[in-house]
Amino acid sequence: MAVSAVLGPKLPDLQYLKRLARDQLVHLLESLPGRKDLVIDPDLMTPLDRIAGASLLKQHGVDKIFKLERTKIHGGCDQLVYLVRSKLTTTKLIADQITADIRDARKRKYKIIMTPRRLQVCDMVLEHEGVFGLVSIEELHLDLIPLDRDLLSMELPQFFRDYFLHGDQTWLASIAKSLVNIQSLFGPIPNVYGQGRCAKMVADMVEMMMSEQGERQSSVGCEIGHLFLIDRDVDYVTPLCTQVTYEGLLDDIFGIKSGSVEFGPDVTGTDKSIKIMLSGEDEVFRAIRDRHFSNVFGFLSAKAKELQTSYDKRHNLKSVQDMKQFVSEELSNLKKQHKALTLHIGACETITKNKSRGDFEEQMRTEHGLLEGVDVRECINFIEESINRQHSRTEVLRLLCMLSSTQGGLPSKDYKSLKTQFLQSYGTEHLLTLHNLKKLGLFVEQQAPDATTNKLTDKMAAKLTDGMASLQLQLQLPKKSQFRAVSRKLNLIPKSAENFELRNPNDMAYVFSGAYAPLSCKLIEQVLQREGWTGVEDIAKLLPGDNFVHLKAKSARGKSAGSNPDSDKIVLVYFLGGCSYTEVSALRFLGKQKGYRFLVATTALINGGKLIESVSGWK
Amino acid sequence: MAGSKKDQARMAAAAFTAEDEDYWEESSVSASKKNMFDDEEEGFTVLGVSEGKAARLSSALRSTVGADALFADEDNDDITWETSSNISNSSSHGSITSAEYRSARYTPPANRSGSLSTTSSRSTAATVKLGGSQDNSLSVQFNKPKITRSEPMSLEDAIVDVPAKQVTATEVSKLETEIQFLRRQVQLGERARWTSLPVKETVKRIILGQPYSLEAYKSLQDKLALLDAAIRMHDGDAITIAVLFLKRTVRKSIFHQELIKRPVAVNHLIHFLWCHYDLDELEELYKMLRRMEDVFVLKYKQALAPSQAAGRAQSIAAVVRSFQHDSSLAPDSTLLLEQCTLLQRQLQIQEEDKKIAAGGKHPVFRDHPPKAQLPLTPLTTTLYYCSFYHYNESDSSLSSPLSIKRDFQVSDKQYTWSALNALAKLHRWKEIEALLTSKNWFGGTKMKACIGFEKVVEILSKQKAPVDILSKYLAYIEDPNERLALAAKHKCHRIVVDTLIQLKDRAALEDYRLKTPDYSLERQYLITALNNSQVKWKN
Repeated sequence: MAVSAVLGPKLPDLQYLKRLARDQLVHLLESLPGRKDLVIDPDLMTPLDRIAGASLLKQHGVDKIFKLERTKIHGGCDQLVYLVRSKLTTTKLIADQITADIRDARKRKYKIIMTPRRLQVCDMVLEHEGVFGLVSIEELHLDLIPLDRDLLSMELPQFFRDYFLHGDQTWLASIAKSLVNIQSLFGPIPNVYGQGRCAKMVADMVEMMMSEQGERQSSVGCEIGHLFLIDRDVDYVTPLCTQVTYEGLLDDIFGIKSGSVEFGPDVTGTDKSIKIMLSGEDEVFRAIRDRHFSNVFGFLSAKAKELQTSYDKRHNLKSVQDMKQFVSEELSNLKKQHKALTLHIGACETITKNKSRGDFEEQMRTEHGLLEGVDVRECINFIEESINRQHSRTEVLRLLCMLSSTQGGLPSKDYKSLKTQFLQSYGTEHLLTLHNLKKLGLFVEQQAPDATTNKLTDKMAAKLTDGMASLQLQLQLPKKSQFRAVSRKLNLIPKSAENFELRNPNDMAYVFSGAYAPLSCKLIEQVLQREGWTGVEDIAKLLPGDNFVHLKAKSARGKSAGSNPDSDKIVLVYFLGGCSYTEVSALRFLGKQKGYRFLVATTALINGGKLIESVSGWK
Repeated sequence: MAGSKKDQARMAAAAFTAEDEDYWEESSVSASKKNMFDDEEEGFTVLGVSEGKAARLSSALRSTVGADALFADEDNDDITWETSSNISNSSSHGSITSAEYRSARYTPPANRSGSLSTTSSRSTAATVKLGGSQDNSLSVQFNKPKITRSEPMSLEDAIVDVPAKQVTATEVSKLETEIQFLRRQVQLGERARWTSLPVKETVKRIILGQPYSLEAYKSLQDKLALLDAAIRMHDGDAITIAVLFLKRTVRKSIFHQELIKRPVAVNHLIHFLWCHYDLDELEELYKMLRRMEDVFVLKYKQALAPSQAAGRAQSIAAVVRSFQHDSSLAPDSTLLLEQCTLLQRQLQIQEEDKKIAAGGKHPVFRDHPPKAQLPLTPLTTTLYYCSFYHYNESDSSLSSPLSIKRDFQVSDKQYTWSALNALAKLHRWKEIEALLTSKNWFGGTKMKACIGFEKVVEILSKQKAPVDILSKYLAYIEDPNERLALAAKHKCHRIVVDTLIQLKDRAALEDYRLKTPDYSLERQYLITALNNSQVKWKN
């Protein structure tokens, strides 16, 4: 079909990453000959779905599969393989299970496969628990998992909490490693841009690892022209907004897990739930995923009509031959489309029902008010009312964080009143959650008017040896968001929101009903356009963390043999701390507009709810 | 087979033709603007999509082919999880689904380093090295040209095949220098066993997962250099290892003194202690760093461990006591104190209520026995509970909603929401009226709702309040357009008529005539209004 022509530059084939991980897993399983039981970390279940199925595991000697839990494993055979995320708590759990086996005088062979990397700290825990000699430890380099043709995810949602809340840098090496892998597969990436502390550290580590590997063979051409690393704290506002693109809504309402979504009986119209993979391979989904929701239904009904015409073809079949062809070729394709269409229309129905309940309209008005900075008092009233009525806690927290992030913290009086009311309605225990949000700078009280000096002290602190004291300062001083100023400079709020064209959008802001264009994506647009930060310094100055750029000389870029001539148009954007489906859609839009193809990599796919939940301090 | 397909197809045709052209025309979505939530007459519209349309289209599609049949061919490859515990709920176990990879082939590793070759359709050849450690590095070669040779008959043949090579003098000297170089390296290595590797190298080894040893770093300078190198190279694992090494090998006072200068190291140590549940040590560390708010939060978190209300109240009270002299934490301490008071009060109320309920005379307890425990619920929930069961009690009673409002400084709005919800649920319209009536200085009364009368109407209508009750509060909505919309929605015809008179909109009034029931008083009322010559109609 003509699809590839429309899409422009060709993307590198990400399926290689999947194959590599799968082959390595198979190798690790086979290295323990014979039958074995597999214990899987619950965190890894869905991501693993993307790499290996149950039958693959069974083919390679796996007998029973258990979920790693706080209880002993009874029965099973005498070889046990643990496949886990490398975390202290998980390691302790495994050590406890092995100790229990010893107590029961059970003899087993143990292998622990840690992913994405074997941690020395985990070794230490095993040593400490006295089981180090009983286990063999391996690592599985399952870092970036391809979820779609242009989407990669580490599926590591806890990175956000670990790094941004606790300042723990353990996962950074794995992120860097994932970039080294990408470059070994698709060639070195000549131009690197970054914004944020974490981005800088990852770039440093990539450099160290690459130099450690030695000179690369020049046989690999360069297929990706640009890399953009961006920290999540550069833009908290975008993921906090309610999503209104189709895929974003699917994530907000049904929850997309590792690229697949489960539709309940209300969507399928049967008594069963159906789990489907969401990917660009599905023609219907590809056409609607990035659209504003108002523009989805029209397409689906036109498609349904089209489908009907195709079904009707069977009336005009003249011969048995024709009939045979219709049944064997077209019918299965039609059925496939029919199925997709039914599900997506069912999903639309559920979304519509979901959003027409309650005060969705008022909520959207509030969000748009906050983004524009108009009628803020009314917005606060709405949030207060939601608290008084004990609406969903996560939703309320999301709005509170949005309020604080867009206004650069709250005036003392509002802060105290909202905090007190929130705790009254949801329980004082949530003081723990508010404490975390305060540490992150997501829900904070405005400090004395010296807000502008914060950035300065921040920068000064960073200059002290080894960033000494900088993190602590960052955590303790409120990070005054300069959202309003950045928003003005990047033109995030379209001037004429009233007549905004949502059906054939010419502005990225369509992803939020024409009310706001994602800060992260607009920043990326500006920097790519200028091939660096020159000209946007005044904006970068307002964002947390430093920025950097490494460009390879233009002449050298084109030279290397075997380079994809399109590579200059291929941009890998890596979100450190998660990105939302809306941002992916906005980047796809930007790509179409400017002739780029974007590959999006992220530590996890998030939305406002997931972001808030991941840092909650109390269930 | 063919017959059933035909039947399905026929059903499909029927379903699609039944909804004629108009249907497809109408489903085009109205042009969207930023506030794209116009209320359409036939149903609610969200983001430009009407609920009704979506429902119709989806049911049409489903009926085309039986929905079950449509999804019957799901290719499932589910794992039944074996659980060690008795949790057998399958939904909690997750499943691995794969259809694609069943055919994956496995090639056993040729040697210890396990090299796997994968043939692929890629044009470029790439050698990818994964993993640092020698033992498990896995190298995958793409499209490495396979040396195709006619099958060797025997091992000998294969060996003979190797061409003999002429060794030149330069090559010999090259090899000699290499031997010397390696000899030196071995000697160095022997010595290096007992001397320390540069710190940077050690950190690199940790990051790349290679064997390393910290034993050689005996001097404080070396230990600190190691920690600083780890921080400079950003790896959290190395930082944690280095900081724990320092902690283990030097006196506490030195450790603290050096730690305090390195916030990144502090973060890693704190995170380690959290994950390792070394909470006492963590507390000590926070205190040393003078991070009292963190100590407070830590102690509070620990105080929440008891699952019973009485125990929890006690442990929270202990936290409050231990921080009573810290003025910077006073606001949060106050919140905790209130939580204690609330827990104790909930326990007392519950005690009393058990007796009342057992007596069986209290009408509300009889008709609506409490479903959940009161203790440990938030204040707002408690307020609702008390409004529901104890509304008319004097405010000296512990369970009176008014006394709760007073003692916990509940806002007027919050009180109104909770009380109104509870009273509406019980259909106590008279008490609602009293709740919304405020007296002025001169003894007169006035209706007032701090949450807005439109919200009052919303709550009442949800509890199916009669039209005359709804009308009473609708009349107090100030904005006539809002009042009009709500009155029409709840079919309070008199209010609609009055509002249209106020708006002087005769045309709308004429249109509304058909919405009122035939021969009803409301119709009569409307006609009288239309004939009223006193009104200066705008149209």
